[in-house]
Amino acid sequence: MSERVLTQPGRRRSSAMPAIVRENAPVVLGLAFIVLFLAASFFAPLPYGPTTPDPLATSQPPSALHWFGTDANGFDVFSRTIAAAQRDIPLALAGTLASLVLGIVFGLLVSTKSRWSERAIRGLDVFQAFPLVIIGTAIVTLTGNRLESVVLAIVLLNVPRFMRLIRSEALALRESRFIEAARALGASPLRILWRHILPNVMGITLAQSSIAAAHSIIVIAALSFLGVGVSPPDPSWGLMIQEGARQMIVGDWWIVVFPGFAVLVTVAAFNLVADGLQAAADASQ
Amino acid sequence: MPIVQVRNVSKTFYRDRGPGVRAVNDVSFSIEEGETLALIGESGSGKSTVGRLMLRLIEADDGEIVFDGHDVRRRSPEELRRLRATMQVVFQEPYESLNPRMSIGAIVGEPLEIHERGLSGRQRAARVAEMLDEVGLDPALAGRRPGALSGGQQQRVGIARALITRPRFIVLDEPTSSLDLSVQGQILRLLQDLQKRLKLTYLYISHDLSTVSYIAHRVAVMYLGQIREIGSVDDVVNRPQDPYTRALLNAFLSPDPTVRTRDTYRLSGEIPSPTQVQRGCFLYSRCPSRIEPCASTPADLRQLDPGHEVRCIRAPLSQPLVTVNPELRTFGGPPRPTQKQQA
Repeated sequence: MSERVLTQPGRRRSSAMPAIVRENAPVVLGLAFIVLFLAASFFAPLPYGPTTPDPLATSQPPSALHWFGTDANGFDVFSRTIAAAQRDIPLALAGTLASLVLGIVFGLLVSTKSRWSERAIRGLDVFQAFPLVIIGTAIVTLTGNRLESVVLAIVLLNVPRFMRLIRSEALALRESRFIEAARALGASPLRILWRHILPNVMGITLAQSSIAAAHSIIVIAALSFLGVGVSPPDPSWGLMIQEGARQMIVGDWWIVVFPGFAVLVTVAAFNLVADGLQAAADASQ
Repeated sequence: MPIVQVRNVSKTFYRDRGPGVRAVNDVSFSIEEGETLALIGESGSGKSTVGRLMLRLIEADDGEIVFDGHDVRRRSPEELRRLRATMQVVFQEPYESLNPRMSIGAIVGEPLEIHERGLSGRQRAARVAEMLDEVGLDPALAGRRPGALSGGQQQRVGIARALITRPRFIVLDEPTSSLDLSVQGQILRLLQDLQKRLKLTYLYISHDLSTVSYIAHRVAVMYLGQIREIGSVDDVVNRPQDPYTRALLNAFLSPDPTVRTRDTYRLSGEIPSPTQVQRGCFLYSRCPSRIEPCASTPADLRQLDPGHEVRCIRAPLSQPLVTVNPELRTFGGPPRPTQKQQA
């Protein structure tokens, strides 16, 4: 990394993103997969309508006609697995992006070593003690079953994690010599947060956000499983797994395995991006 | 007229429990404009804390810090912020004192963003280039990150950042101690050169006596938060009158194996915990010249000669004093000692 810095001194900032991608095959691979999957869910011609059941072909095993088989209602599992990305991936990304922004703002706000911020963190402890099921049920009871409540659930789960991460990083940074130098220059607390602390926590925060996106897919699946968020007949990996799980008893494994595999590879793709971003952040330090 | 005056300043650090650490204990001194006062002492003697108190990077418990007629401790946050353009600091660890995510140009230009907001980006870049040139750096380095620079270059960036707002007083907190010996000399010469050209006043904090006698005009020796001895470099280094100063000079090793000037004047034991309140002289437990009254009589600074103050009640010490290693005065200096070293 340092060698390129030497050969093109002035262009360090502008070339940062492509350089990260160029040097990190995993990031490219992960992003490409996510984009392709999302594009396919919207534009690819599917063999069957994802919300139109075929009552004459229920519980068919995978075949040339139905690649991933059909479920108990006669829905084509392949079409639904692809189409589910339409909702699952944007929901996960929206939830993660909102968590990222709110987490950065609140994380920086509590990143002082004051009694006030200690209390805020203690408050988060209490909040985080509630499991997802309880939070999901509470949100739906309070706001009704809408897609937005899924985003809200993701935000409520992820913001405390971002806050903790940013706070612990920022507290360590505050002890560093260059922050003291900035104070000696007369930099205001806001300038110190914005110019000195934020850029130095961004790397690890971005990496955490990819992990959060992966986690969100699981949250959406879990919430759908509980009947929150995406409602039938709209396809969602979580719902498909829920229905498929029931059919496992009679041996219809394909209904649950293929959407489960879709969750697996999507999470893996987000993790690839996360690992790559983390590595890039470390290398440039 | 001194540009900086420190009067009876004290600072105690408290931990969650237990007694506080009295890091700085009733310290007073002043620095004339264009002068370099060196503050020396071993680790934990409170010398860096004095520097931070003077810049109000930490708050003093007691005393007055007068800079250019302003009591620094009484300035409002806004007044203090404006005052910071005129008093600056260069730290020991050059890399750690530079934000790794900022370019050299942004680092050196930041003080201008804070203190001269009227400047356009272009004007700022011009000033940065000028400043980089002034500290001996290629202005083309402005686009790089600190990690791409050598230790000596990083320290030059630190100096450029400190000087770009044209301050009058600089705290140099061991600016060369983490650098190679050859680079140390370059940085010291740069600092000396800048002092002459820009009429800067320095507080030079160090534990390296050779650099002190090279760059400083006067020296203050600190031990357990107190000044033991203060005076001209000549007085303190060549005619030390305090047992602590004498022992400190003796502990200094010469790079020349033929120089055998160390006498056996040594302190015994370890530096006492600064949490323990001492009665009498702080050096009592370790001092080779102690007498009975030292244990109970507080030792106060008193003037021995004009401009030379000592804390020891027995000073001037009766024993023949150390012949101080001549190398002490010759770091990076005139060619004579260099030739001698090579011989």
